[in-house]
Amino acid sequence: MLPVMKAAEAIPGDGELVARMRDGDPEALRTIVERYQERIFALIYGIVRDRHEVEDVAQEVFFKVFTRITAFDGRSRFYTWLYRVAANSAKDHLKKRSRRPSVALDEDDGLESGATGPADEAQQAEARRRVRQAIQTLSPRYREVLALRELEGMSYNEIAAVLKVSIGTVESRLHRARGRLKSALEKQGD
Amino acid sequence: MIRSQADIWRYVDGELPPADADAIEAQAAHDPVLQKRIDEARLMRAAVLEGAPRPSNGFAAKVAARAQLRAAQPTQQVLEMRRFLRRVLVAAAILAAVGIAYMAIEVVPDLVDGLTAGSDPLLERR
Repeated sequence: MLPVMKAAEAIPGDGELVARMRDGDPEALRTIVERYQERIFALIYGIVRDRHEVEDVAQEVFFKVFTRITAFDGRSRFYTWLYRVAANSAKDHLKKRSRRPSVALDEDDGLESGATGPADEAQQAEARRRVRQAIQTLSPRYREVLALRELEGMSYNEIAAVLKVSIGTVESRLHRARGRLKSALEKQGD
Repeated sequence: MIRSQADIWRYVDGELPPADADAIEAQAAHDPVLQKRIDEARLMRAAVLEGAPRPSNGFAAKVAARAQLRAAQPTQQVLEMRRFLRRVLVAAAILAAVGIAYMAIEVVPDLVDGLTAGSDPLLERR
């Protein structure tokens, strides 16, 4: 029993880390970053869709969390608030990027082409590549809901909490996002 | 039974009640069109999932170091207090300058006059 208790004590919960961040403890932030970095990277990537920009945006997100932790009122779960900060920062980043001269995105960098596998595998890889291209045509609000669902594996309920919308809105946005992806794919296939 | 696309998404998302999910699975086993639609939905999910980069090794340390620098800087409250004190000092300096000027213009000449007037009797005796 004792070792279990010790192990539990050794891993601070989000609540404790939030309290320590309020006191300005950077080590608490470090633990938060280590705990959530992969999921936040995936979420930001889902919205920004540029692998090279993800780390900068993620750094801003975690720094913002540290400097504005007093804005977290504790009424929702910490990770819900964190995801909201990340999603909003990624959308803000997209807005800023849209004001800059356009740069070709190279999101397929480092991804397998699938061309060396069996024929059906290559075909699937090609289809996935086309889906990724089609995602670029979606507006940020649709990318956001797709990223939360597909990359974070969140339930409709959790997505609604992050985006502060109803479950019905989540479902209809997801449905529209996927519908647009499908029609973008069909157009590409023509 | 024709399934709506929304039902298929709910099924792929794991949001359907277990009984409904079982019914879709049973139907898909005999319905190649439905199975194809489910496969397409899964393919779309897989495509969205692909490509997310992983954080670099020192990422957490980098963010913590930046926060450490920030923590070492004076907080907003301290900065505001400093700004307030600076304003109080400037106001005090202005008041002191006005006071000194007033003394120089109004009080000092009177004092000098008073002193001069006080010395008159002596001058008269001589």
